[in-house]
Amino acid sequence: MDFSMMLEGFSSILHPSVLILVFLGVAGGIMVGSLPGLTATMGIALLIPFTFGLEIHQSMAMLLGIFSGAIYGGSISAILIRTPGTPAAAATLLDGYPMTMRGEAGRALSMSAFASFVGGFTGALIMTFLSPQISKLALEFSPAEYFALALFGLSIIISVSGGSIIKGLISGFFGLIIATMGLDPISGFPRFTFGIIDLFEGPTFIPTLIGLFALSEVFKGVETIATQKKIDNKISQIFPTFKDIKASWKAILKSSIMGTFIGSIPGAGSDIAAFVGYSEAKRTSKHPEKFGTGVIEGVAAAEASNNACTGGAMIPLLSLGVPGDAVTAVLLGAFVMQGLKPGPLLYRDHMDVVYSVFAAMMVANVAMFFVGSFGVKFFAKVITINRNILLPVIFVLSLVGAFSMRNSAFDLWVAIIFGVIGYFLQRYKFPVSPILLSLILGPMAESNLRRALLISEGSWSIFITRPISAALLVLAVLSIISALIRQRKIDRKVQAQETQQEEDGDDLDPAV
Amino acid sequence: MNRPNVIFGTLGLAISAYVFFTASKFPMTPGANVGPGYYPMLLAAGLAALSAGLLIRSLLKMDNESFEKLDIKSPEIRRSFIALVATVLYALGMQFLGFIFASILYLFALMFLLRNRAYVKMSLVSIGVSVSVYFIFSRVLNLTLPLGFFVGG
Repeated sequence: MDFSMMLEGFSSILHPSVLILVFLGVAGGIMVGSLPGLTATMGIALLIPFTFGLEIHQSMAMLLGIFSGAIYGGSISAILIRTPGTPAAAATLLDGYPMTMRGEAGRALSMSAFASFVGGFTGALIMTFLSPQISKLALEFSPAEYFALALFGLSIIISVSGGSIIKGLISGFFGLIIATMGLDPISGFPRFTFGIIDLFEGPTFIPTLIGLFALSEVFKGVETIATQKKIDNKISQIFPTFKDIKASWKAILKSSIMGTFIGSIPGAGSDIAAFVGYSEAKRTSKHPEKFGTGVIEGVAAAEASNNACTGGAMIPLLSLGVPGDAVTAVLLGAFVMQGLKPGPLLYRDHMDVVYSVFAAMMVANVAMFFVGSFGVKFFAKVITINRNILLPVIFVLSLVGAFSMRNSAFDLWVAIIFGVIGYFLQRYKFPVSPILLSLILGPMAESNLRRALLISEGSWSIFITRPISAALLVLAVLSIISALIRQRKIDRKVQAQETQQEEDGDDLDPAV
Repeated sequence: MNRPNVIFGTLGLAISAYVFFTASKFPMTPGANVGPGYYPMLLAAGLAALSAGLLIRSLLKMDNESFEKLDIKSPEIRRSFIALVATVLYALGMQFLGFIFASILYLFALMFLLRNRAYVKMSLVSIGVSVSVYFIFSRVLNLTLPLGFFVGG
């Protein structure tokens, strides 16, 4: 790390005009994060259009604010109404909601904000120290390694996408094919454009994203007419007590470090990190049997872990150009929109941008702590907004966002078409995240594959004779095999349960 | 047999076939050993293999997935279909009516679809949201939204 660069980074972020954006981003992020049904990915997709007109350090500051805010925000609804606002907060409700039931919502929420802050800040620090080192290593990469890296990223992401592996892979390949639409990056030949000039750059990333992650969700959302849960817990505490901090600091610290490293593995997202942090705190606790009944360490461990994950996920994104999860894939899209490509070259050519990202990440976490703590009563009200009013507003925001990126009516149609595609894919249990990641990693895979084949004069052996590339390919194969084994185990369990139920049913039949 | 999976498998095969044959006709780049069609053809082969796998698995009843039924007559599916039609109309209407006016109508219609009947509140939200989104995008963010014929776009 370079201290003078770091100071420069801070001075670019601590400017009042940028600080306002960070605070706005954090507030917006907490809001979408706390609303069940709006995930962090969807939140960023919805809010990204607000950064179109900004400079790179401004837009990054705002987006990282949204990112940190959204992951923390999920805990508010998890604690108050037992519904995680984002998947990352699923572990938080285990102890958070029982606390609310006891009338200790304020205690749980204040700890959640504090633990999220410590976790997020630790993640940002580790990212600042570690990612420049990784990028140095990656500077030596040739096209063969980059191709292997892209494959590795894709393999992990597809294998953890949940449900059926074959469907995850189909989604991934579908995304890769979509990513080839437009002018061929090497020869300039138009591919699958159907003669439409608007398609020469391929389907525009942000509208596609908005379609897949926001519109598809609201199309699904209108199918249920929701009735709103009431919250009648008074929140009288906005900062955690020293006693609570003393009880949880070990769990927070451990979760912060573990969460960061889990986040840095492509494919392992903040939801996994939160559960790992939670179960580690439970395992090493003096009273593990009390976990799940509303212990403060449980909330602290889960929240520190999932927010630490944000910094971790930024490491492969910044230093290798490989996003760790769906949210960072969206952030990568934001970089590209600004004409910058994350990866080792970013560290060589745009150090100022890299360090402003580091600074922004830290400032965003501080802002999150303040906005989260002081605004908690307001956000608790936001959760009670009637969904039947909210959904139409999300429709409008999605479409405005899709339109305004290039000021193009064509992009509106892109968003609507992908909204419909996403709706059907989700309905029939095809995960959509692999499509998003394929859109990002696809061009990287193709251009490096072709460059490598040019160097090797058409021989594929280049990918296995170079050690780093071979190692990455082996890892890719291993990740798919291990996912297949895991899937088979789950299938067996499900089958066993089903036969068990049938037998139980037989026993019951005569009685009925 | 799992019907949705059969349909998706067939669809996947059709897409791969289209991609493969279209890509095989892409011209070769002089001097390069692989042309613009090489990589899409690889992908098409991959997608074809996977789709065939999905198809065979469901024809042999090897998958035990179950889905919510897509009952076209159910009020739920009707609602999402109407929402889609409204969205298409909104996208078309925005060019003629302008952003603000089209959005007010669209928001009001969607809220009605979701069984809101508090008309005063619905009108206030529709107008408030449309005007403030317009203001934020055009004045604060300097992005253009269509004004439509009425306001002279």
